[in-house]
Amino acid sequence: MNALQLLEALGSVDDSLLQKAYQPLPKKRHFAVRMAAAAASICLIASAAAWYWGHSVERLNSVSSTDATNRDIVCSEAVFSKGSNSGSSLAEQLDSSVRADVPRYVDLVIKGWNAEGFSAVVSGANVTLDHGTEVQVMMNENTVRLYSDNQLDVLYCYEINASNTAAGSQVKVVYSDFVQTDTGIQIIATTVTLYQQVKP
Amino acid sequence: MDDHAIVALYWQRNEAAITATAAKYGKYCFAIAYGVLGNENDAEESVNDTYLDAWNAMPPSRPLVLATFLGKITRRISIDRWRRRNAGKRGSGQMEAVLDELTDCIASGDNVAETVEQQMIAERINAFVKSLPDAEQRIFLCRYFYMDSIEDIAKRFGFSQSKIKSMMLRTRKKLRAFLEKEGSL
Repeated sequence: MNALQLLEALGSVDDSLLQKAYQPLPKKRHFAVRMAAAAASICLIASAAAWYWGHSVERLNSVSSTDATNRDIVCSEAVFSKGSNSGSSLAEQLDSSVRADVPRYVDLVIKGWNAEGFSAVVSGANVTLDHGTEVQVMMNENTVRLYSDNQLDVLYCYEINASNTAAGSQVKVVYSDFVQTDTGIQIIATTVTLYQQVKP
Repeated sequence: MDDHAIVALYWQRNEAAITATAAKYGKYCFAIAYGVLGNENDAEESVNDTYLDAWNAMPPSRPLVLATFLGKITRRISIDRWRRRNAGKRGSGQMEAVLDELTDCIASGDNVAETVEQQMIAERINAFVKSLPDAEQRIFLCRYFYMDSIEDIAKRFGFSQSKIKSMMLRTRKKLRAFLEKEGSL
């Protein structure tokens, strides 16, 4: 075999591979950013543990998964921190966040609960959510809002207002990252975090 | 125009198919041809031959991915043109450099003329490319299928040229080892 024959043999590479060749590489976080994210996660875990032991707070469930390709490993943590309860209509002031270590993260900050529901902000502070990133905010299995980003865009802030969230209501945040393949949509990673309102 | 619509025009034997193909994929085909031939006139002729070849191929072909279908035709025609033009001569374009690089992957100047053997090698190379990590795979194909320059590849992927070169060197060593293991060398 000579080099020309080898080059010609390369002409029969699968179409799917050739198509993929010109697509941009998945973004990788810089090492320092990864380390910072890891440190932040540790802090969150420690805060959560301290809060759990020091206060009567509802247990949180957080589940992460990756698909079989295991391209990205997602870790997620969630923290409740109790704010000042001034005795106003806000039963609790809750801050919570969901963090997917890779490839990006979003934050959910519940700004306030009241008899009618809560208001919250999903923000990915200056984080670019690439094609395929989807953030769902679910409450008791019912999707109350859906953010779906089908084009390159920057998600700065997303306001949520939900109703019928009595004390003890649960809010589920689903953060999925997926890619469009030849055969359809492939989920790369999913983070599910359950938030539960603390009873006053 | 949608690819399905363009293919449908070919099947209807409507010459508008050529116009639509040129409008949508003319630059893409030209880039491939120019990468091989390094000459605008020759590349333009290869692209025109590509349209003719596509016209003759559809029907019966009904490609699922029109871009790569055309790209493969352009590449084949361009390599043939390069071979005729450069019999015993050195030319410009990426072809010379690419062939020099691929010499790393082969054992000697032995020719394997058998079509069957060529087909087997093609299948093995396909398997090899699939086995590569994502970035290596893309860079390998950009260089050895599309024949992009190292400078262009470095820009596209955001790597330095030296990193691209070292990645390609590793990949070529892997390819050689793979072909030896598979008995193709």
